[in-house]
Amino acid sequence: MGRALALITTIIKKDLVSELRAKESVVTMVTFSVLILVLFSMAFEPSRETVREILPGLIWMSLIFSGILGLNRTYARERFNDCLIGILSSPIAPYHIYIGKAASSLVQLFIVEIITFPLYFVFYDLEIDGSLGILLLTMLLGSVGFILVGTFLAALTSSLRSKEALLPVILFPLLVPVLLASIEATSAIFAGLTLNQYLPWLKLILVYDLVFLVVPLLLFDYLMEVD
Amino acid sequence: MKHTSLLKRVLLASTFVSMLVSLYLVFVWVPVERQMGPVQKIFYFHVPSAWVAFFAFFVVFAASLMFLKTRLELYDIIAGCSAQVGVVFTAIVLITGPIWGRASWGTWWTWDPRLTTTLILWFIYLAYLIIRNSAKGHVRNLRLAAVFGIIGFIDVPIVFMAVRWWRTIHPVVFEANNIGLPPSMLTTLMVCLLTFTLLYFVLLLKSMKIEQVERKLQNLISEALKAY
Repeated sequence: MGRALALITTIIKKDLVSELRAKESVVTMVTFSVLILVLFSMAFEPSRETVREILPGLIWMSLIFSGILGLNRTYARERFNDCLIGILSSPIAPYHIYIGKAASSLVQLFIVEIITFPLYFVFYDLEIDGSLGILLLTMLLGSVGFILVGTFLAALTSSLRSKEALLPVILFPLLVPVLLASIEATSAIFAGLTLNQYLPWLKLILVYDLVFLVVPLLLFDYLMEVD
Repeated sequence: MKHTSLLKRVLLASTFVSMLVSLYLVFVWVPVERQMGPVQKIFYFHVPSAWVAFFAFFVVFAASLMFLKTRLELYDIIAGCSAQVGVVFTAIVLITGPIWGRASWGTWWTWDPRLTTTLILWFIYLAYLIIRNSAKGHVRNLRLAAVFGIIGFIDVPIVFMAVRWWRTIHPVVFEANNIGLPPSMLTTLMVCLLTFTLLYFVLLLKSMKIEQVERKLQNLISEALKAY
């Protein structure tokens, strides 16, 4: 267990260090999500009544669109010099790679969220009636679900032709449950509904997270086979 | 060339007979529904198509699992061809549904759990076919398609659950009509279900044959190129 954790941390560290040096993903992702935020305020007049209606959806959609940019880069790094084969021939197991990559993508997505989220308060005059803590929990759980499926499918598309275009097409249909649940929970928290009214959504996100943690763990070996 | 096996011929013949019987039952024998009129007859094509679609996707799931386990090319071919047939039948469901809905509910589309899930299902397996298409001709890529065939199927019940909650929290516009079917309509539906299931197997075998011949041709071409 401790050894597995150490190997996973190695992958996380490796990814984050190379991201810190190259700064290719996070900068693009942050810029893109701020850009979406600005463009949407032009598409929809940000008057107070309509904002509440569309904002939860907007927040999650911008998160997912900018997240896709990062996910497409996840395995791009390993393509040069056959780095992936190098990693696989080291004592690191495929599932270490999966967990490690998912964790490092999650960290990058959190950075995007931390920078972008306050801007919604500035640009859209956002007010939250519910608890901020539960909102953050929803953001966390939803992001985990998105990243788990995304990291898995990014590995799937990374060796295919037209991978960048393919990822959103195969990822979005699978994201429907977590996206729907996250948007519904977020708008319930914005509106200050009681916990009972959106607890089923949080449970659904949790179930989704668990399913798409276990299933990829079982199947990831098949994606990483070298022939 | 080998002759078509006896089993295939029996399947083809029984599908043909069963299809004729179904058409007779639907258009001649079964009475016209009083409230909805002739448009209700879409039901006899709509429901069996939906059944075949779900069944086809289950076959994709099972065959993908078997492929990963045994690595026999046959399972990959079954999965791919079943997905094709399934997507076609899902498209039929998505086309016939709104036609019926327009006539009986007065609207083409509603975000009802079943409708929405079917639409998402269609997208998932379209994605599966896109993966297969861009994965042609490499052993590794057969594996990728199989993995997606499994994970896509697992997602379907969660989609259904999510959409159902989504719709129950929002106002439900149309209640599902829980009118029990009279015996004549039930009989017709059952026969149609049988016909469509037989049709599924006919189409599956046909498209598998085409796929096998195509792969054989590819092998011959690459061998010929090597020899050259």
